[in-house]
Amino acid sequence: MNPTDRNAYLRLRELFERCVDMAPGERDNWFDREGIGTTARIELELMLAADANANDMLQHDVVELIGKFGDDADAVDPGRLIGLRYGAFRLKRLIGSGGQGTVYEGERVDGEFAQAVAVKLLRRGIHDPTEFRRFRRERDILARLDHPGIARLIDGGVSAEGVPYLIMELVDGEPLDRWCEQHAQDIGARLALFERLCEIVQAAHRMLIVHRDLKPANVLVGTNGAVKVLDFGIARLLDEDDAQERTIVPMMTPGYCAPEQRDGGQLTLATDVHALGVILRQLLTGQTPVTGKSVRQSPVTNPSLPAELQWIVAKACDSEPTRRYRDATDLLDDLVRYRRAQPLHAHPPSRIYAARKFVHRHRGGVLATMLFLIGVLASAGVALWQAKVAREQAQRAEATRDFLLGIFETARQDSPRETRPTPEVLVRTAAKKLDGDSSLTPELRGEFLGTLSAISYSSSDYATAVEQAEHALQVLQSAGLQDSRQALALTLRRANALISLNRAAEADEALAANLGRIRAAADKTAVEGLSSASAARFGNGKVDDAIALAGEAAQLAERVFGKDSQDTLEVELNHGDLLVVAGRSREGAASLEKTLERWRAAGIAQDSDFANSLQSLAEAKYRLGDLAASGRAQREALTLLQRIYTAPHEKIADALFSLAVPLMNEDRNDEAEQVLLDAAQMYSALFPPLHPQNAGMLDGLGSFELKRQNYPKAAGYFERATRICIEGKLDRNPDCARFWQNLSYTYLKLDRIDDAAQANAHSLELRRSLFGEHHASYASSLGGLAGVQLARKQPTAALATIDQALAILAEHGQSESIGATMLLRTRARALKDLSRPAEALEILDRLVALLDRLVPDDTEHHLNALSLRAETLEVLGRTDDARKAARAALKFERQRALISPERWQHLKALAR
Amino acid sequence: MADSQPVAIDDTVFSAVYQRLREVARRERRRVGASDTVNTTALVHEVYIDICKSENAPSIQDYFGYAARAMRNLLIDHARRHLRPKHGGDLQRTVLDTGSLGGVCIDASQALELDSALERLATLDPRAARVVELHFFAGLDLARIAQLLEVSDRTVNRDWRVARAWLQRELAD
Repeated sequence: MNPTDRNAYLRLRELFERCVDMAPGERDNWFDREGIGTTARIELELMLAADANANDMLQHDVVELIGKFGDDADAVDPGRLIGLRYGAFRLKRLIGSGGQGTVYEGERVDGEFAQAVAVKLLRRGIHDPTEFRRFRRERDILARLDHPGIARLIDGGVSAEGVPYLIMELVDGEPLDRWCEQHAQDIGARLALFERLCEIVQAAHRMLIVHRDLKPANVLVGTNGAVKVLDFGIARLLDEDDAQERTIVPMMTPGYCAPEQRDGGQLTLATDVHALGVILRQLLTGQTPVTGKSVRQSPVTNPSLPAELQWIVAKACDSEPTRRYRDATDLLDDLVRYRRAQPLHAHPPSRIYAARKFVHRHRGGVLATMLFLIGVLASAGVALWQAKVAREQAQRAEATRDFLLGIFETARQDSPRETRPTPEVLVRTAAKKLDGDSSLTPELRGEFLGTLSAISYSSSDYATAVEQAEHALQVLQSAGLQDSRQALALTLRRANALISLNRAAEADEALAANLGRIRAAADKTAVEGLSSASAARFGNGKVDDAIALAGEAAQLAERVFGKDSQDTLEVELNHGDLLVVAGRSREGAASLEKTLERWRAAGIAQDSDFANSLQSLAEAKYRLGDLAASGRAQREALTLLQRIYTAPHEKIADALFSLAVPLMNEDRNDEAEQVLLDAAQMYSALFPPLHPQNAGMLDGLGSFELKRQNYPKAAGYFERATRICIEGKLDRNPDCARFWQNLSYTYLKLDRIDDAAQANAHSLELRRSLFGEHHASYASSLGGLAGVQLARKQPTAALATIDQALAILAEHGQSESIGATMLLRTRARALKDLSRPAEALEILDRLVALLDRLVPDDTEHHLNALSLRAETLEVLGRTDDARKAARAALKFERQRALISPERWQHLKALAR
Repeated sequence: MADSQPVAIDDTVFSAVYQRLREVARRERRRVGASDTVNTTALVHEVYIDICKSENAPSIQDYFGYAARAMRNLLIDHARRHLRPKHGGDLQRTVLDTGSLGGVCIDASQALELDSALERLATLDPRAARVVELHFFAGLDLARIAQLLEVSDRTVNRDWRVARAWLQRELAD
């Protein structure tokens, strides 16, 4: 211890104690009187100021201070960050803390204008550029979510320490459940609020944004009763994985999270539907959800709740995502239906419900009709002795039937099957009456049974429809009426039901036996009969017969309905579609183009049939090499579908997806990538992971990477697509053959010849078993095989394979298609390898001319053909021509990665 | 304890006090969430009751010495840990002006400075330093400290007032 220091201290202490209680003015005089030097005076002043400070560190509790520095092993104490700046905002006050992170109230720093916001600091750090890019992408998507019911995302970023932050609209309100306890006691008010919530979620679902953490605490109700949803899509920002991979949410709120969230499954819009269902249950029963790892939520068992609401909750909370409502829109739809007393999508425990609901809605009408119908049947036995009465009754019965069918037919067209009013109870009661009533004439019984069969068919109960039609046919036959028009109608009905049940062979058999009578009818029934016969034939694998019958139906339709009626045009489009499906592209395209043009000219509203045929036309045009026309048709189909359906929709995703193909062929890669990603996003929002649509999507992405010459990535996509084929047991799906073929081609590019051979074998086998050996798509797989054979230095075998493939294309008039150009190139390579360069050159000249005509803007095919041509000319010793050809090939420098560096160098040498 | 020297430390007893205080402090902070209701006095007394049950319980005078020392170590430990980069110790700061967080605007480095200033004070004015330890770190009120140190209330009051002003002056440098 330094005695000088100590003395100085003791002197300071003495002076301090003497003056500390003086008034400030008095003190100055005292300093002067005592003759205190400047240094001592400054020190004293400092101590006096400290003494006056009532809020220094030593006035605080030490445990509190320790607390402010955070807990031993835990994260930073949230309060410590108050005052720090994130983006343009400063943290002002801690609002709360949860699994995802901490929320503060923040205020604008720059003071341009006062703006209170919520600042959310996410718990998960972001440290590498990939994660950062993904965070930014997600943030931009969320920022586009502009809806009055969704707390807006204002900004977001990552601090220098890697802490991601989000600036969001500050919402004032009470959590939904608490608000309901205090302000919305009755079910009606709660349902209205819940409907509002569904509308909000629906808006986000249209943009394919899944909330993933819906719960009452994230749904605030303001004093004016307005609903606001917080944290939309924020959970996704916390994901570690890339969007394409499985997505596991690290922390979810127990009780509200769906089984697929617990199990690390694919999250779709249906994930939010589950959470909405749990919230609805809570609002209806007042009970908070049971938590626990594998707890299954108990069904709503409150007997005072309407059964319909219990079904809605059950459907929304189904453990299987595909059995839930597809999205918030469908859930909302059912709630609205409930409110309007219409039948629901939700499946009741028994189908009787549909009848009851139907009756409830048409209280007067249907109830009377039903009683009337039963009444007719019951009284028929008594009344039939009197012929006059019998005729009257029969007329009334017919009127009844028409009335009922009218209702079902209207409901059938556009509504999903669950919504079709199916008073099965009516049908069953009637059938029982019919069976027990032996006094009815066979004709009348046949009539009624046929009616019931029609009702069953209209409500998609095909098995019952078949059964009832057969029953009716038996009744008619026993009365010798098997050749009546009535019997023919029943035969058609039965066949259609069989086709719908995928029992095409039985349908084909029944219709083939009756073709003569169908043709003889030469009326509406005949058109339908021929169309049915065509469908049955097609389903039974006899494609050419099916096309012939469809053509016959089209001709007859023109006579029966008139040339430009919608009925006729639909039958004709069906014929055109079939031609395309069968690979007869030229005829198909011609037929479709003509019919579509007539449809437009007639000013008939364009519907999904029309869009469907546009897509068939696009496919045909593509196969015929007319890429511009194919692209046009695709675009027109897409625009139309976007008008017909609300996104996200499978059909829109399909159309987007198909559009990528012509875009890629026109080398418009950025646009192609955009539509592919849009489609991919829709598919993964709509379908479970092993669904064929997801495989198709992966195939599209693979093709895109293939086109961009990113072979390892392309192989990855194709491998995933084929894995879905295997794991999803899609062994009858023709698309899988394409995935295998694409995989094989990619493997060849990667020099994995054995793998390529194996993948090609899968493709060949699948196409052979599905289409036989004379189908154009089989030719394409043969082309793949030839490629493998060339890689294995078996040019003779390759040549034979290629000629078999070209012969198939020639059969279908596709000798000048894109598919043919690939085969021609392979053929030239084989001939060159076999030291027959003159023949090879001949092929190549034809090929280059064909490419100039088919795909003038394409570079890939041109480069391949031109470099091969230059090499062949060199072999032939035509040095000058070889130089010219090499120079032409070198123009495609941008695509040089398509051929090996050695070949590229060789071309350069040739060009000199 | 008129000599006012810091007590000689018995390692086993001290570490028992230290561990126990740490546990209780942590539990308390967790339980109430907001730290401002945590009270050092209550904490130290609660642990004393615990410690008394053990075999080699220190005398009450020694105990408060241990407790003060333990709390001082806890504060330093936390401040040091807090300054480590992995906790974001070097987060970019905007001006940390007064007003926020109940008026306290200390940071972890100030806690460390306090510790070394207190060390210096112990050489210049051992009794005043002892008063700071017992009052600030062990949460004893000044009258109780007067009893423990066997001096008048007035002396303890004066010691506290001077020490507080002097320490702050040191921290302000």
